[in-house]
Amino acid sequence: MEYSGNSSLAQQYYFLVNFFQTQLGPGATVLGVVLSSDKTNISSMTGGRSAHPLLISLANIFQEFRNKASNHSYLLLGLLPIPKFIHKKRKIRGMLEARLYHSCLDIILAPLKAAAAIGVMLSDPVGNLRWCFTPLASFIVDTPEAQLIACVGGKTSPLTVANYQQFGDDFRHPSRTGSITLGTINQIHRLETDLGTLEKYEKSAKSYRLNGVQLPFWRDWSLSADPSVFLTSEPLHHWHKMFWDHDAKWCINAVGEAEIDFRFSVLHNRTGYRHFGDGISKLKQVTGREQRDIQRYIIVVVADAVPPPFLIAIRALLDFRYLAQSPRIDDNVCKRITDALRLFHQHKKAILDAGARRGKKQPLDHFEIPKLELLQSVVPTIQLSGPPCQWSADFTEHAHIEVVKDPARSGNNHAYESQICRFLDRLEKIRNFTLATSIRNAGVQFGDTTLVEDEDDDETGFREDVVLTTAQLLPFLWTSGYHIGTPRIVDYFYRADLMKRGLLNQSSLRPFRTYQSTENLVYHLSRDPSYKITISEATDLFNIQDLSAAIGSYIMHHSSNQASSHLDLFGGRRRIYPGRLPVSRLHIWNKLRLQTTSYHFPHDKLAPYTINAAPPSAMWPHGHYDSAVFNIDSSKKWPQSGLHGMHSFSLYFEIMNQL
Amino acid sequence: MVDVRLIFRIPHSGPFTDDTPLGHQITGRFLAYLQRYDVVPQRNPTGAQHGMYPDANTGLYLLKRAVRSTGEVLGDIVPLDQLRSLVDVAPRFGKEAGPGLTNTNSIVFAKEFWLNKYFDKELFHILSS
Repeated sequence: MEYSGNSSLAQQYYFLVNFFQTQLGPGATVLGVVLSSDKTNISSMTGGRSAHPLLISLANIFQEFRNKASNHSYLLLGLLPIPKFIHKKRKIRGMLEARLYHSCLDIILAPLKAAAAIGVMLSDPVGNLRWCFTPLASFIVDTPEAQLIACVGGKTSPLTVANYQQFGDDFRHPSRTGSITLGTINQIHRLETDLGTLEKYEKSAKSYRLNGVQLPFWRDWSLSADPSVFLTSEPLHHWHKMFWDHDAKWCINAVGEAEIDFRFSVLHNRTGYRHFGDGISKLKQVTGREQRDIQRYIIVVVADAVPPPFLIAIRALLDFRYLAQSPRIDDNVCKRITDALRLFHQHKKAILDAGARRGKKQPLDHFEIPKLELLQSVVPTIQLSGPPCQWSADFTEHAHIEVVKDPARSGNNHAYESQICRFLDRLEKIRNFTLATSIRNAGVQFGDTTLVEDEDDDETGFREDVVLTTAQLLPFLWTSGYHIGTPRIVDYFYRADLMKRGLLNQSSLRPFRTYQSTENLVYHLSRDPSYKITISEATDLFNIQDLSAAIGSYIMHHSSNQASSHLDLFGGRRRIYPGRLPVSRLHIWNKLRLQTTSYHFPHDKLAPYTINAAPPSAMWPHGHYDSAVFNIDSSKKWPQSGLHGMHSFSLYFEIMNQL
Repeated sequence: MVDVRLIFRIPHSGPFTDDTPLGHQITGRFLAYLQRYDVVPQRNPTGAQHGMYPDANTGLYLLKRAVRSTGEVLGDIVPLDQLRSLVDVAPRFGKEAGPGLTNTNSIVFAKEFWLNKYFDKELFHILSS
């Protein structure tokens, strides 16, 4: 999987590669190591057995490829022990667990540390030997494990030198670099004379806000001995969970359970999106997906029900999360992220004033929230390691199913470790065999780069089916029937193209049922209409009183403007069709599907969604229809235009005159 | 922003056939009957000027239904290929949400609406850049 030289890679991973490269000098290949560890439950139903898997992946793999579960980019590197120490004090047991964790990682990661220090010769996919270095690019963990890795004690930030009383500060405290932590550990050893017992060591470490680990695993990892760099921001645990644990609770407290639940319940259902029919205050076991679904609606729900500064504070944090989740982030976005956080801190007092921040018994008067402090480090992390969404635990938690849970459940509940290893070995062999046979079936030639240099740099000399990258290989394999797990999303763009070229059964139907109307948008309707009725029947069924007048006006407009097919007028003066309308029947569709491409990566197709336009029914007494944006000014191009040239904007002057 | 009330086409009939340009406009394409929302102008963040700005507190555009001078809701027909995106329009509840609201009528009876950019991350980037 070779992506060097890929411009998209440069976008997301540029700073980090650059950082490593400048320290390594020319000729070296940087292989950024991605690690992840988290405890997970492996017994289905009962038993309460858990495992502590350590996963590994490669930062050089393009993020969207790496983070697609079906590409198997996260591998099981080890299963860490989950010990039960018998010491009677919990604090001491915690310290021993932390030390064991670091010792285990020391053993497992020794080869990577050696390769980071002196390099290792590895062959790339087309057979060239490369001198590779393996610094740690990211360690994806939740907050408690981040503290464990950074070797800090409770109520202390793993990324900065802030302690809990400073978590609500509106600025970033200095980074807790690896050398600061190592210096403090040395200081303990040097200054504290009495470290004879575990209890005494634990006590001294605690006074320095450390967790008592003597040898952090990262201390001798060349280029990577700094947790404040490799502990990247983690959207799932840091942001979405904070939203539910804090922001959402503040809103529930300020608005009141009954009112906020009612407001959520009367929002319009959108096909394909979660609707909170019973509100949110009684939700139990809220998943990351639900935390995100609540964020979609929280602002419109609490608007006007909380004081304006309160609303601005909530909205600022929401802006922060949405911006920081962008797949592509430049300096301008970084600035907006910083501004959003500042806006929150300027208005956060309103949340305390409303008594909305509550502890178990009484309202709290502070913002000592560890996850709030972590937000201060998001922009510095982005500038070093690229957009945080690629380091999300969403993907590694999903990988747990494949590399630990499924293998563990396939065995007989004995000797988990060896059975899991054997299962994964066999699975990989089967996968490689399938891959090899389908490459052969597809007749793919792998590229030989020396060939190009010998011939006079003539690109046309390339045979089209010579493959240099995984991205080029995959389309060949799909056509030869190689499936790699989960189905890909429906591609209406492809279908629209086939339709236009007359290659589908429905190609004879006019107008085309699947049609690409702009570069970045395709709509799709079912083959047959839902209704074939007269205009007056449609007027009654859909309760649209001026339907026939509108149709008459539409025909009149085009009779006088035959050249332009784009309708650049909406709701202007109605033209009256003289005499009887020349049409009487309509074919009506209840809904359509719409597929667009991504705003940040225009070559990426998004999952299609549904737009309803159904008549009133028992379930929907007023009809079931959705809202949309239509283009009026054909010179403006969605989505770059924003709302300019769309309906609202053309009308702005009209409203002004009325005021 | 509009509500999409009707998606239809006019089948071949009478004077319109596909081979004339006019016939193509009338019967050769899908059409939609739409009801329009207008942005309620707000003061801009720095000065006192009114214009197409989002509401200062929510950061969302405030909408109301466009009406004709006769008071009826303004609806019109536009070719379906001018459709650009699904959006979420949510009712403005005010201080307390009216007790008679349900999930099917809240959008019908509301007087003012929010264009909810937080509905979708794609939409968020388009509407806030």
